[in-house]
Amino acid sequence: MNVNELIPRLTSEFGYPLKGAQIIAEKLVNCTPQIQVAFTKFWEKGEFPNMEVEGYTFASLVSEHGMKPIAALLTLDWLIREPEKAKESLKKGHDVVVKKNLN
Amino acid sequence: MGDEFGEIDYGEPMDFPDVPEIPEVPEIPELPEVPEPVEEPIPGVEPGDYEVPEDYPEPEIIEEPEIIEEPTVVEEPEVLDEQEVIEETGVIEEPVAPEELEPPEEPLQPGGDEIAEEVYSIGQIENLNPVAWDSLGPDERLQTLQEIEDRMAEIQGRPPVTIISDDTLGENIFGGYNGETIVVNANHLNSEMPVDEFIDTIVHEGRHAYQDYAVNNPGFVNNTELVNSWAENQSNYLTADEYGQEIYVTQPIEADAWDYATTIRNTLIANNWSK
Repeated sequence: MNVNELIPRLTSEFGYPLKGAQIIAEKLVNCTPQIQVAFTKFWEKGEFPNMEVEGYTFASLVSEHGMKPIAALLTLDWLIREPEKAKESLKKGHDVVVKKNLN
Repeated sequence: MGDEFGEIDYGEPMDFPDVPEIPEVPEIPELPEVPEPVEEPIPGVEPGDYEVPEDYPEPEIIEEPEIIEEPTVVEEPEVLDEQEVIEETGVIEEPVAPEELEPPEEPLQPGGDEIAEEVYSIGQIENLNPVAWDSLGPDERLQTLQEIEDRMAEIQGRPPVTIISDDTLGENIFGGYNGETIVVNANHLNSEMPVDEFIDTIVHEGRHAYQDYAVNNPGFVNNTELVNSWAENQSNYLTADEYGQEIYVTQPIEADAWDYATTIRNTLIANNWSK
């Protein structure tokens, strides 16, 4: 799995703009082994991971935090790497700033 | 004693030139009489109310100290080695490190005064007291949040932004900024969520308004590199729902807004704001 393999599908199938796809692809190729396995299953077979990290699951991040599958996987990866920081941030929630021309 | 010298012979009398006549000195006119000094009346004090005691000490005259201008050029002091110092002064002293000669200057905290002013101003809003907040309805709460934004904007030197509530936001979305208004989650406004969460949200979204104003008004913030990073990020904003929490929270405008709001909130708490 490398960045150049991921970007075309991230843009065409998942709708990410090119810059955004580059950022995500870079994160995915450098994520923890557990998330690499989970992502490969999702990428190749469309399977959603059934894993829990620090009280958060893929399903809870999707349903309660409104995250898309890849966003949920990357957040689980953060919870593995920096659990306290990630939990604190998730507890605070998030906001939305108007988007302009993401290319 | 005169008999010892006998008669003195003065010789022929000398001729002196005619001495010119001295002109008559004109009469000096009489000077007008100097009036007696009149004491200025002191308000509230009648003449005779106060007499200077006999043992009143003479006032001490303090001379103005001579002002010595600071030299504009500071020359490096001549460095003497230990042996030279001993030879010149005859005293053996422990060497003093240069940094011990003057206390180090306190590093300037960027925006430190502004933070203090904002914290003070927020602390003056009575409805933000947790007890008062609990008794407010949603409309009054919204008005109170608007007051925070108005005060913050004034201190920051930017126009205030209107705050509206939105009941379509998801549970984990606390607010938003769309370039014209700040949006707060209406469901939160109707809940028992602690007031400091709302302060955090308004300060955070207000910071986005500040960033936006800085991007649209070059020179408002001096750090051009920082403002450029905000401008670039505004054009490439990364949402938490598409990119995950870590990418979202570490992008320039969010990292800045989170830091700013957290600083205000922590300073409020440190100042016992809710007590």
